[in-house]
Amino acid sequence: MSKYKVILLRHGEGEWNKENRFCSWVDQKLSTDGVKEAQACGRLLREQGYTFDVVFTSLLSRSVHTAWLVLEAMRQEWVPVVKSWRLNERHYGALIGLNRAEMALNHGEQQVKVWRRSYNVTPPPIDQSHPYYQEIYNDRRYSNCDVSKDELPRAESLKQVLDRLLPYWDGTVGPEIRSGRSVLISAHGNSCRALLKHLEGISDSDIVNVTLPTGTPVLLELDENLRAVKPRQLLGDQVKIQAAIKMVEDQGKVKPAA
Amino acid sequence: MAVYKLVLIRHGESNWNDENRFSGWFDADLSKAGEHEARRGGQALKDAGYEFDICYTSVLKRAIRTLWMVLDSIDQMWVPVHRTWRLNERHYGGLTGLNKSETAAKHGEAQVKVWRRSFDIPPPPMDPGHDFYAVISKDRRYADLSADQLPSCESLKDTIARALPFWNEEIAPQIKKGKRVLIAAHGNSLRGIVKHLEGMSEEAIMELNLPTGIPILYELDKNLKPVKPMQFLGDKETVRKAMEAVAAQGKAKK
Repeated sequence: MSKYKVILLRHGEGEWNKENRFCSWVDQKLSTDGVKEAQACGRLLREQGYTFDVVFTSLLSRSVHTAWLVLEAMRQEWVPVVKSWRLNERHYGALIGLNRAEMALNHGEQQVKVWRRSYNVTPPPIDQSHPYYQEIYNDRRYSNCDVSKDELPRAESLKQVLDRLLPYWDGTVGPEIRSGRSVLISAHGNSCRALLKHLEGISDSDIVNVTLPTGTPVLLELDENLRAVKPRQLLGDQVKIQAAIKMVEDQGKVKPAA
Repeated sequence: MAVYKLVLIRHGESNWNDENRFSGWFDADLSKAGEHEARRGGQALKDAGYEFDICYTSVLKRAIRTLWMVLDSIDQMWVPVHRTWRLNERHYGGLTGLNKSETAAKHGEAQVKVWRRSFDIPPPPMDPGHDFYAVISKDRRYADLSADQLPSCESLKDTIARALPFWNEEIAPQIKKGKRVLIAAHGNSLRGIVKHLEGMSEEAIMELNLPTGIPILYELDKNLKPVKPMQFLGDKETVRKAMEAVAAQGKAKK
């Protein structure tokens, strides 16, 4: 029986999404289209009468910025926003910065699909020689996390994302929901997928085929144990949503020769 | 000896400032000019390389959005932000929504002068019949305030009395822990902090109008006492104009 509602949101387009590159822990900002997606999402939530008591985001700017734009459109700028690395996008390790289509050309669409969508395959870890290593690990935002910098991931499978997200859900987000507060989670494609897998009880093999469109609020209705009582609902124009899902799936394909 | 740095920023022009209306607790948004002021303030902090560990603001969008634009400019959107009604602008009670001439017409020039010159005389309360009563007093953001916390009007003294506990209990301890703090708020709530930091008299704080959209730097000793007067951050011209405007304030009133 549905007791609680929670909204998950995958942020919109960042500059690297346009270039089809694995962005992951690199702190890319939203593109102008990504900003518009967030604003449209906020207007939709406002039209449908949603109010929030607290918003959770990751430490990455695109997730925070999306939350701000949504709150602004909803005229709820005053709602507290809480940020944690545990909602960060999946850490893609050595694959960070690589273009997905090029990878498909070099490794085949299947391997790319496995890396992107399998549950427990970890990509090769990022190391000090990687062009983005310093930018990520020298960043001050990771100096005051609930784990030391050394303990932060160097690469993650989707399972590992859930492993570091679940304590945050159980210890911080869940209690807010249970106390009756309306929660918005503004996060990333894979941190949202990991959470969905847990809440909806999606199997390790089925999660491979789950794709979340960007900038589309995902409504989950939960029972008193915080488990989904029905399939997730994507809010908004259903035709546009299907097109958005297809666009994300197509990112892994090899581009047809011109 | 300066041990800590504190930065304050007063939000810029709102849509209502433009029309010369008392905003108070009405949630007026920034005008385009006000947004520009916020970005310029952010740029000043970026140019000077400021880093923050925690930010405080009110529950009014003109301050929150100013803070957001500053954090975006300095690329520190991930820094924790703590919002509180205690940093809200002074509540102008029954005057909320009135512009200067309407106020004078309604209450008379003499009464307006008294309110402007007084530290502890509040404006008339905002009663349930007021145009903005529902959107302010009944707003969800104030749901947790007790009956005696939620104001119907405030004198400057009242504003400072509800702002200072937050400074003492939340902000000051963070500064003493070495956290670098940025406060984005309003003319009168910031006056409360400035009056406290500098030990100013009631007369002196009423004379002081903090510049808008310009980061105000305090260098504090280990007891959080300023070691020198407030400094403004920005390009030479902006800073010079702001300093002159502040210096002229005391003189004009005489």
